[in-house]
Amino acid sequence: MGKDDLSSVKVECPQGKGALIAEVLTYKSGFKRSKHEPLSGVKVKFYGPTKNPDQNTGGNGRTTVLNGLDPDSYTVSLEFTPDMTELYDVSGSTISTAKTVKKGKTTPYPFEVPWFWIEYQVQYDGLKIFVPGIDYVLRHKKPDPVDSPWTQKKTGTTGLSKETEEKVPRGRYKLDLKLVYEPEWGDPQVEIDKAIEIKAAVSGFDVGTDGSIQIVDAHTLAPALHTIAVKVAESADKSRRELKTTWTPTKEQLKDLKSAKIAFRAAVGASFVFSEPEPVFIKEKYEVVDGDGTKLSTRIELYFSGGYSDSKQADGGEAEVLTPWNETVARVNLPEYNGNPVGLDEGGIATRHFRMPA
Amino acid sequence: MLTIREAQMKVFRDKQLRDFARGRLRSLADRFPKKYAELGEVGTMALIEAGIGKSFGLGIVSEDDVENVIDLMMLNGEDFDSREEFAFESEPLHDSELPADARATLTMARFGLEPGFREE
Repeated sequence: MGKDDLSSVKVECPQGKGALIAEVLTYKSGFKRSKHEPLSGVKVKFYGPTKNPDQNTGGNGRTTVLNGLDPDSYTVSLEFTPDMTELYDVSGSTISTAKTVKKGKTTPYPFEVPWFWIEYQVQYDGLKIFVPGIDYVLRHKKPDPVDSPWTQKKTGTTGLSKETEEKVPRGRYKLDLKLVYEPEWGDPQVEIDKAIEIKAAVSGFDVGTDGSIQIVDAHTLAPALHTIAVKVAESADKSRRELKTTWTPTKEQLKDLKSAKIAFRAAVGASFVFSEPEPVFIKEKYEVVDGDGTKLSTRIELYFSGGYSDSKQADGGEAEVLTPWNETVARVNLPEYNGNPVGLDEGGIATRHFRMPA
Repeated sequence: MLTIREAQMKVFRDKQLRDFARGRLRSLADRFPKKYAELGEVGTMALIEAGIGKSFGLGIVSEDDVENVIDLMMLNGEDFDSREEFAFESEPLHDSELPADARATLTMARFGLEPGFREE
């Protein structure tokens, strides 16, 4: 009885030959039950007692039906073009299957090869809130050879949703936001005529891209007091890209600085970052003499109008003191002469007199 | 010589179909518990009978293939093969150039399913 045939209990007289058909489908990797698509152009090879020429899958992903096969085991194998192996997970898929082709039956050989895809989004750290309006570069690195370079695949601007790229070449991907960040002064203070390192990290911009570092008054941020042209470069340890320069400030460059602090604005394209304010000092020489004009060697304490103070040892009647930019001396002490009067002759300001504490 | 009359053959065939349908009912209750609870035994049996009818109408007659068609109806609804959203998936079922005994398997493949799949 034809148990396998529900429509009839008659025993069919089977034909002496069998048939097979192969179909190749593709789908989004990781989503096996997602919408499938036919994959055309895949070479299909047939191995079994009845020989058949290779075929390419058509627009519907199928081969033609191979009739007239002697019943036996047949292996169907797929061969992909190099381009296809980049876009589809060939190595992770079954691409060769052996089945028994029976008399009077058509044996289907369905194959599935998922496609590679990526998705990316930019959200605030720890929050499910998108960050729109940031330019980015999507880069790709081929898996072979291992030292393949990163190449630009796409540029865009972040939006308010997740982005998905379907059927992308295998390999590694990274999304570089076009940002300038982590501004850093090389020293905790700026001194006139002393070189200082200035740098900021850069992402998303190629090495050699023009950038700038503007020195600004920390209280007004514009206009720039001084501008330095800088190009994006690899950091010394090659771990990141940066804008970096060494700047030696001069009194002339900062002549329009009204406050006592400056900041820098590091910029590449439309991306920029402001540094923390940094106090500016200028080294001043003080003559320390007594009422007879004798040069003293003694400790001198200076208190400035902005609250800064410094203590120096005067040697042979001279002391070099770091003076905050645009600040005046509010008080001076010579601890070894406590209880005595002292006069201060600061350039441009009338001589002032103090009596030092007893 | 033993001669089986048409009426006797119908009896045999009906019994075979009843046995098949009972087996399907148990299998669907096990693999599609949510859908089975929704349809109930009577509703599920009606779907099985509709699946047998649909399969025969398409020339699909082997037990395995009819099972696959019923499973697809259980998952996607009785009319899945006429819905626009499944036009690509159900195309093999109605492809007259395909051998009837290849249609159900190729349809399952287009849904990304394998015989005996379970409800998610």
